Amino acid sequence: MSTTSPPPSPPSSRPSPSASTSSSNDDQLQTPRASTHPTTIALAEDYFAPPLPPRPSLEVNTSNVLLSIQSATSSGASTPGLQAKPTTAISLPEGVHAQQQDAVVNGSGSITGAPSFSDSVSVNSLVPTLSAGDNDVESMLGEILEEEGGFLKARRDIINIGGGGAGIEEVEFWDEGWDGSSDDEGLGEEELVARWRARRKHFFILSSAGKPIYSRHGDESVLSGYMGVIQAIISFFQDDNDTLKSFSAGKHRFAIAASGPLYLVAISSMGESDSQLRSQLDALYTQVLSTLTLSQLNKIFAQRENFDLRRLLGGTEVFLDGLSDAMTLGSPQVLLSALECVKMRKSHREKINSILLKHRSPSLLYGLVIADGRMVSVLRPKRHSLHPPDLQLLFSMLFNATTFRDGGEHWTPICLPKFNSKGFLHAYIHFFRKEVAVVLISANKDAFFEMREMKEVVVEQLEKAGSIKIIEAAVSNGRYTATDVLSPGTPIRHFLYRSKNNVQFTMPSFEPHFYTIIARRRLMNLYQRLHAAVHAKNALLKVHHCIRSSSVSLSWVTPMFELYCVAVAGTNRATLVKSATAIAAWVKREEERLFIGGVVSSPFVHDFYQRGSRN
Amino acid sequence: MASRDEAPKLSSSVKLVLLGEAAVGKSSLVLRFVNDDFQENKEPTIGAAFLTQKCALPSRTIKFEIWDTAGQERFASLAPMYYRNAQTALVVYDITKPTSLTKAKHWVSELQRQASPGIVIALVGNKLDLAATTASDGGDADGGDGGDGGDAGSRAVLTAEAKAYADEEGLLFYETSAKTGENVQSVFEAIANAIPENTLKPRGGAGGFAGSGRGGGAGGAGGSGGEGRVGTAVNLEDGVGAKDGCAC
Repeated sequence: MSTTSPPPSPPSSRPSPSASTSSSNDDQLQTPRASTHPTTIALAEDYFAPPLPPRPSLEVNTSNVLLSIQSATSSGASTPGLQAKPTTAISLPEGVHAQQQDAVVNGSGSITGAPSFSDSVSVNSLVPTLSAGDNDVESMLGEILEEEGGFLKARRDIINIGGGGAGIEEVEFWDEGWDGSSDDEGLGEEELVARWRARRKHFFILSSAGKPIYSRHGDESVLSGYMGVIQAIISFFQDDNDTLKSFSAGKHRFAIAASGPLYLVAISSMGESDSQLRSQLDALYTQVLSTLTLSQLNKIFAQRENFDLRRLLGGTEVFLDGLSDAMTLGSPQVLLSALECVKMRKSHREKINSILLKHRSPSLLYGLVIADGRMVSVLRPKRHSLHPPDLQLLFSMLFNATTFRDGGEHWTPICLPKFNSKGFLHAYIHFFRKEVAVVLISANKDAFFEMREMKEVVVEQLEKAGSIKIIEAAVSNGRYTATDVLSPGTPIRHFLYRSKNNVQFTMPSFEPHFYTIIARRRLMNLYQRLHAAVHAKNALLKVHHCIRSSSVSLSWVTPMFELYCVAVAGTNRATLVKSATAIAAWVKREEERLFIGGVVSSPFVHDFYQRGSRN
Repeated sequence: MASRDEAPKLSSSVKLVLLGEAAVGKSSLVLRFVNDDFQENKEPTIGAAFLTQKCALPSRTIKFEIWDTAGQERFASLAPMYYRNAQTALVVYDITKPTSLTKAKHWVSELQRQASPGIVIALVGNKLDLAATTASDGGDADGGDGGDGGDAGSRAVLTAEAKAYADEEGLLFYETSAKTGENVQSVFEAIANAIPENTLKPRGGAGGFAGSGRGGGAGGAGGSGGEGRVGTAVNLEDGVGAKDGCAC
């Protein structure tokens, strides 16, 4: 494939990624509808020869240029000056692909031949620059789109989370209907593309050959050209043994993960840090692996670089979609890499544990009782830990999609990549109550009836012991609230507490203060920022206090836990600290109810095996 | 327990497997049969779902133990696990999608080669509710394109064509609509009636799952306690290889 310039844009010179990209996208790139609205070209890169060695910067030259990149690395002098007008036009529908070949050569006459980018351009450290002033921001996708059609604007709720001018535009991410819903039917391709671009967050998966595999939004016609360009950009840097990890375009952060033969790309204007975006990509990658296994994935692409993986992933889009949406909404699980338990009395949980243990069948590897997306009980062999990413995968499949929630019994192959990325396990999944499931995992693909029998006995025993009622009550009562933990008048609105030992977290209900999706999204966004601040690479922060117009927040990291709490605006520091201390003390007191001890990823022998034996 | 068909009013378990291309409506057929319900835009089955439903016949009660398998190709290599020991199979295609009949034919021949001898196979053309606008001739049917054809919602596989194939292979044949319920009950009743008496065995007591390949017994194929014996490790790669071949 190759890149092209939009017709209206001036000729340009640029490093051409084309050489290394696959030709498979050619046809798609020829999409007709080009000229209709040239100004909406999605992304145009502009490489600019840095005047000064240390910071090769990529600046915006024309109003058409939407993306500017600046490399923060400094190997200056050797950096080839690359000046180009919009080149890598990612805009598919503009279809302007014809001119690209010559685009490589002219422009300012500076270096053009592709891979002459030296190592100096380490994208690893790219820093967003909006050097051309705010005009660039103005020309960012969103604004363009707003100009395009007022309806987009109407669909958007602008929220300013706090200081620093960091306005976050919240998209109604739950509205995912445009590619299928009736209100799109009258829309032309431009509008579809415009709406697609208006999304505040995108996830893409493509093969290293540039074949589209997955996108949360948009269909083939919108996507294929973009996929090609993404592949081109990534492989351009790879040609120099450099790895493109992230870059910014205005408010949009692009994070890229090259995982095996796949490229995963997140584009977000929601303010996540690179590492947060990357852990989201990891979660998606884990989902892909769970369907295919790593060895199969590698084998497929070793045999045929051009393989269209969508054929093999068919049917799992719902899981990828569910996970993507959860992460767009803001997933504490993914943010904290931890799981949540249903809070219940220790004796109640032990009863459930012992029933599982007593009736476990020989082929059982892992046994779980899960309710409402939270763990109730986990049974595992002494020497096999359960890794949070694997569990998250399972939870996401169970609760972010409806596939398994029809009340039927399911038997499905599943790869838990952290357990073993090379092979499949087999999961018996049954929601025996609306929100309560038993999951029994075996390495034996023929163990269905064995697992089924175990489930029948276990459910019967749980019923008899009254445990099911307890679980259902815990689910229907919802989580505790901040006022349960602190005094009724507490200024604390919400908190996240992550226990490092248990790799689990606990939090109060999102109600009443974060009842709406927008409010919840704002809250999660704030948590993302707090989390990023204390997890920045060089951060030695243990306590981080943040005052904004809308809230006051505190992050507190100790060797035992991470605590993030959010209070109403105007709360003074002393009150905040006192509350945080009280939360930590409360969690410690309630630890055995809030967390399952020693189960998840614990290096220790799980002790309920011993305890269970007394039954 | 050991008594075979002597009891006057029989209650027998029958293992039934559904096979067919993705999105032809296998799960919807089962949902209609088991719960008399229908969902638009059902999410694809992953792996397989297991359901049971009784079907009362004048002379006996049949308890179907239904394996509703996923149609995606990557699960194809798991299929033998589900049709092994099955006494009956529903092979489903979509009457608006000719390629799905081709796939159905592959399943039929695989069953004939690999499944229990004497397995009762029913060929089922689903989505009859979409047949309203019939294609005028076979030419359309052949030319009909895959997925989009389905959405367009017109018949692309002629009844006569599928019927002729079914007759040739000795299959039961029905056209159904899981959406309207048309013929769904009939298919299962016909199957229940078609199962030879001597392959039925009384239902085991509670806990009869123990072990395995229950329902077995068809001809010599059955063997009890038979799970896990065939050394076919779960090997999706087979499926991949096949797919690979036709991927371009």
